[in-house]
Amino acid sequence: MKRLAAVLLCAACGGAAPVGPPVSLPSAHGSHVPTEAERRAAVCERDDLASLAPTVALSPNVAADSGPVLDVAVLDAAGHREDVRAEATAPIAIGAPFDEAAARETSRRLWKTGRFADVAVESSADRGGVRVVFRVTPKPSIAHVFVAGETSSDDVATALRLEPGAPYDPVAIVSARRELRAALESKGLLDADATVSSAFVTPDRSSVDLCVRVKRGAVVTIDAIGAHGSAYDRDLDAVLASEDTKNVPGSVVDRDVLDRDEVVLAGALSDRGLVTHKIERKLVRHGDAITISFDVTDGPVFHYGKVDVRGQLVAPKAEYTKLVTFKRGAVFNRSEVAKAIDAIRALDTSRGRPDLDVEPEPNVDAATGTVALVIEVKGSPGFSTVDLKRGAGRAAASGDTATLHYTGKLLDGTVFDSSIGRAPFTFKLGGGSVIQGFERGVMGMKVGGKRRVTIPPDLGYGKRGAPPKIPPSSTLVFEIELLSIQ
Amino acid sequence: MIFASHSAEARVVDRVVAIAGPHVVMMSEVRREAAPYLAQVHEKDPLARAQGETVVLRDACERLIDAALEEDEAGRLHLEATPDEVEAGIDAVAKNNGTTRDGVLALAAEHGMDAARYRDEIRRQILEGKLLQLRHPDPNKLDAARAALVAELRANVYVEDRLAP
Repeated sequence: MKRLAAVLLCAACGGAAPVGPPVSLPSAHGSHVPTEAERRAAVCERDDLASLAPTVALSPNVAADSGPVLDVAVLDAAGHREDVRAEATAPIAIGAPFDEAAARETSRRLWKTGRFADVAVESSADRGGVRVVFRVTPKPSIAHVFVAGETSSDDVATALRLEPGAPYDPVAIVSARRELRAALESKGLLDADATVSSAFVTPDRSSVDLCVRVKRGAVVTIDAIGAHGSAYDRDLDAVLASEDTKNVPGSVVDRDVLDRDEVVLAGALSDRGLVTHKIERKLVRHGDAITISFDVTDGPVFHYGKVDVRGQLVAPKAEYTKLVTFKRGAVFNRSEVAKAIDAIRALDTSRGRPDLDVEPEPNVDAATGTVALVIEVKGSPGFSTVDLKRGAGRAAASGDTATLHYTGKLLDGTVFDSSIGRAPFTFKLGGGSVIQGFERGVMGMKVGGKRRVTIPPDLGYGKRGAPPKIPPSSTLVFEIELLSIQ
Repeated sequence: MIFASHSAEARVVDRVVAIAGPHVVMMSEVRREAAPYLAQVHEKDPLARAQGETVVLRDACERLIDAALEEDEAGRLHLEATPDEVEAGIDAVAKNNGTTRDGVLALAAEHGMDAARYRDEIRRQILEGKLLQLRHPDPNKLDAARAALVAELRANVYVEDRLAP
């Protein structure tokens, strides 16, 4: 039957077009107008989507005609101009030589309009130049959507966004079918499948019938979930029970939550020094039930190696190390490290530097079974401070009025301003009366302290600079001595 | 209307030959991809030569479809091949073949691949390698893994190869 249809299609093409994939063409049988049942049977017998365009012959390696491009047009097979936006053909420059890459870009833009099933580029020599035609084939429209299989409603067709009259777009259909499968799977229909087939209704391939078939299958539910193979199976099961209220016996599988479960289990193992553990997730079907197992290989227990805090510290180092509650030789615990990082962030914030990043840099040494840990305090790119002399007393914070001496230099050492030899400079921290980098640089200083502050342009005078002394986009270096805070 | 519907002098110089999900592959791209391999078709018999070239063009089209899908998947997974990785890849090819970087690029040029095209090819291979490492990490079954990866990617999108027999 399909073979016959293919022959009929070829006859309908008048021998000019190559034969496409087999399609059912009931209307090609003389004057018989197919009934809806015949059309339904014809399209639902198929198991694939009809190709958007006939198979094309391999084009010879032809070059476009030479000379400047005289004109560009987008025409259909009958020579009628297609109404497309000017941007579509913009890559082809009138008057310039024909450019293959520009023609490709134009073809892609036409394709992306979603209206065409085929785009071919034609060139023809004419009066010392070349005329370029983008020959387009409009997409067929959807004539009828039949629904078959284990569903009696049109819900599935709606989910696949298949509407009679809309353009037939197999790219979108396949994409929507994937989404539909995922949606069915999220309802526990793990065996569900949706297939769509199509067939041209008329020999001119201007419209297609579609058939949607859905196999739903049974709802598959979880019969058990747990961790296995670890010395801490019980603890891990307790963690799972407290963290995951969705993947429980009797419910359907939520794969997103399973992903999260794996992260939670990894964290629990790392809290016990098992930093090189392995977790393998297994889902085993038994009929309409599924067992979820996290198979764990613990690996050795790791201990802390050298622990250090460094980087752009805005308080004495002792204050930082006091926040690191774990010591060398103790069993590594990821949650302890996370707590220390939070505490360091809070310290930085209390010293007026909430912008600082705190990053753990662990170094796992399998040979010694240790995790050396550096907690690095990092400033925003380009901004930095160096304490030349530490002061005493409380640290300057937002709301304080600071009195200080400063000297500002460009990176080449040119001094553009200084309070030395004048009255000390006084300003309110957090008041926005000075450049942002200067204010940030003073935060955390103590009376009597001296600090060198490097300020990138975006925290200084920006792209414009401050003519004539400060050129555009200048990085500034201030040396500041804090005299008092009130 | 400026143009006749079917000008006698008009000839098709390019056209869509494949659809790979949201992408289209043009004939000119297939010819470009196939160029180094077309040069290796040496049959003297015109028919055999044409058949050989057809196979090369179809293979090139399939490679471009797979490359487009792999590129999409790599993007989805935020994988990339940095310029440094590409250069290191060229160095590795040179070392494996007992030659220099310039030697590799010269050899590629002899086969119709300029430096930019060759780098693009290496970049493509690196991305594919990263995808394989994520999805099918067994290095002993590379061909099977590559086939499985491509099959997975093709199963998720609409693919139409108009050069296919």
